Amino acid sequence: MFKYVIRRLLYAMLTVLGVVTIVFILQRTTGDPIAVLLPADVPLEEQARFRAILGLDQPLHIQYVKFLMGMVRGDLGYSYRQGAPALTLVLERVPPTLKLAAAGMAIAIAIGLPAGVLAAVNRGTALDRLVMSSALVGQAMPVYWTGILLILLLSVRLRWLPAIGYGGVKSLIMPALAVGSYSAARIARMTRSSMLDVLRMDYVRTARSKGLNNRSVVVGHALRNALIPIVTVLGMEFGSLMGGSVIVETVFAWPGVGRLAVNAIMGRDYPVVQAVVIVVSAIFVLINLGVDLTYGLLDPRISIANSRKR
Amino acid sequence: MYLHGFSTRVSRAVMMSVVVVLMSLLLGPMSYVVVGAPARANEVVIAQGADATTLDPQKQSDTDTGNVCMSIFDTMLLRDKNMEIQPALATDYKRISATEWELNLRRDVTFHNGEPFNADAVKFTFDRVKDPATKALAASYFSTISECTVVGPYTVRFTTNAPDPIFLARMTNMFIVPPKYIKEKGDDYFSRNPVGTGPFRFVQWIRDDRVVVEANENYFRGKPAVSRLVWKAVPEMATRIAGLQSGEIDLVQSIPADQVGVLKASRDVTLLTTPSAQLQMVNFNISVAPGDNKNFRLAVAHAIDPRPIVAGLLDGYAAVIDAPISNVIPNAPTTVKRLAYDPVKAKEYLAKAGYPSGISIDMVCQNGKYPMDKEIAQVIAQQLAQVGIKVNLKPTEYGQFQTILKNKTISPVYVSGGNNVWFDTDPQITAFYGTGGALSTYSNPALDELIEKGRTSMDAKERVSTYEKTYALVRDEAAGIGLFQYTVVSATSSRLNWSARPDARIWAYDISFK
Repeated sequence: MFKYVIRRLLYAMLTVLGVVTIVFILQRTTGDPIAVLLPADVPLEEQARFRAILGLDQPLHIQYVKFLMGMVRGDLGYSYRQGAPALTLVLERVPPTLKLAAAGMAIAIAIGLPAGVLAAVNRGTALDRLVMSSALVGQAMPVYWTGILLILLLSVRLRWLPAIGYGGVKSLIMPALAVGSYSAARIARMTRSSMLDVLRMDYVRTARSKGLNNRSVVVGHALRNALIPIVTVLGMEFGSLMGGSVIVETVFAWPGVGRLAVNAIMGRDYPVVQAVVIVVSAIFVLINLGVDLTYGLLDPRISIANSRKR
Repeated sequence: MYLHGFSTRVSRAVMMSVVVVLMSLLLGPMSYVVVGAPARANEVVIAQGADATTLDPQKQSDTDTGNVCMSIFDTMLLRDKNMEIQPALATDYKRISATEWELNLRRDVTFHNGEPFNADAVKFTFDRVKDPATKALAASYFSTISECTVVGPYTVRFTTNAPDPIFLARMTNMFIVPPKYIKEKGDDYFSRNPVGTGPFRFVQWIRDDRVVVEANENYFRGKPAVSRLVWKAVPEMATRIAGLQSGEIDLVQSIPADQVGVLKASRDVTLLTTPSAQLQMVNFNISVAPGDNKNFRLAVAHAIDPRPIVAGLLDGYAAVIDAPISNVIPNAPTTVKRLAYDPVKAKEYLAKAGYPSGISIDMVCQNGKYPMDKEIAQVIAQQLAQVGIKVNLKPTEYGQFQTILKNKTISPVYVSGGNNVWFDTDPQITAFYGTGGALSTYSNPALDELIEKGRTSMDAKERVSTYEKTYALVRDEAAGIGLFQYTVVSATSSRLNWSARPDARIWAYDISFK
């Protein structure tokens, strides 16, 4: 188990290095940072002087080696636009993003899981159709639109919640609802199909024939075994939310990682883009590792040690 | 039994997850945001599209950051609402030779930390911005100034490389920073905890969320009317407008024309309009065919009619211009008239250019940099199609647009927005039409000569007449075609007194309550 985790972490580091290398090269093909950093009418000599100050006049491989050497020391460079170390800027945005992702996931699980189970248990009934059509609407509604509707209703009309800003539970409710409603729809659909598979299994029939009541069959036997694909989806959803929900962060002026990333990309702030990619891909890889380890917890037949021996 | 044990483990895991979620919700500040205006009587919230990138005024170059810095710092000189240059930290100025300016400073100013403001602070500021180690984005504003010397405790002298007609305008961008504080605390600390001489002192900054400042009681112009000012970063315009309507936001600039109607219906919101230096134009890349063909360029000039764009797309929140420069610029031409919209003539010029049966071209335009920029280019493309110029429109993100413009690999015709931060003709015409200009794909020795004459003359009247000739030549050669200048629409909560400025700056000291 321990060896497995170490091996996975080594792979994770390689993955992060690969991703950041691709980003390092790709972003340098998208245009000159000086073109967006300095006012448009700045004379060309002044632009060249500034390019040299930022080290952007050096050949690509030299820039890359310098970047790698910095990365080894934990120095991801200095933001061109924000006058601060790139890593600090990213780490500052992690708590708001974590809050939003956690609250969004809590809402998504609270709605999506019971809805999916109910739909599966009552397959083919009006309730099933209601849940599934709601899920379809939930997934089809662009998050941007949901966000604006929430603001118009809860903030402009009813004046219950602030339209903008960060700080406190009130400001978290609407962004979390916008994020959560989308994920809830996905989780409900996934739960329903996974539950339907499991409910057909022999052990469920056995449990029923033992005389167990419906509740303990569904919750105690079926749901538990249906959880593996659901946990996979949850991990993926949480991972992508940790990358920052760009649209929700933009609509609700939420100071998270996604907005930082978009601003850095638009502003050609290479060090910040690289730092975001490193931090986010590391989080994503770690969450995936966590999900894989959870499989063993949910179903002891999936044993990491055994699978390696086989 | 097995299932029972497993169920306990899972329940524990679920419980743990709930605890983690709750804990993360509780992380960080728990201050409740108060909704509505009445709770914040003397506080004003200004929402901008972007947060300040830094609070070190020498390391910024964008308007949103500049506005925040203007509330904390003072500049040497300041433009008033009419764009006239007025004293600020400098009380008066005099030109003592073609390349030397002497400025006297106020004697009653201290920084927010008590540090004195004097000639040494000005020299420190200038030397710091020029030092490559500072990596100051604002250095480009002072590229023509070579030296700052201290003449007396409250007198400084600046030396320029050559006669500089916009020297005084440059001084309106020179934010003075505190030498002792920066030396003691370092650049990083200063950029997060700024100390200036301005009307407001810094209180708090949560990146990408808000900068909070409060009134400087000892401000040399008198205490500001607003006691607490919050600069909110709200990237989405729809949210900014919703915030205005819900009373959480007091001031928003650059409202898109299609949103004005929504706000007109709001009782608690006041709308303000002002002509601006922002404009749209059609330019040519003369290093590729057919941009190098004067007859082709004239065909394009006669084929374009900006009036339907102004009336239709922008609901009248713009004004047609005769030359590719806004008329709010003090020495912009006033007598030059644009080439008439005349499709018949356009077809004649196209035939003369060697394309009697029409031509197919690429046309690059900006996408999302200026209001409706892509839609404007779509209308232009339709107008060109009507005279036989079939356009393959290529909307391009701003950074990429700037890059292909500078490489001169941009399409033969392109639609481009523009601005003029100096409120002077020289930097704009040099950048867009001078040989080797930062945004120029055009080159014409006769035009260069006129630009040089305008730049080196220190006589304001002579400069105006030179620029009349310059823009007449731009029109006759069809080097570029002005379309329209934008009208900036701003909205404030009705409890505020404030007037919008043509430079789209927000000088927060100007805000008061009704």
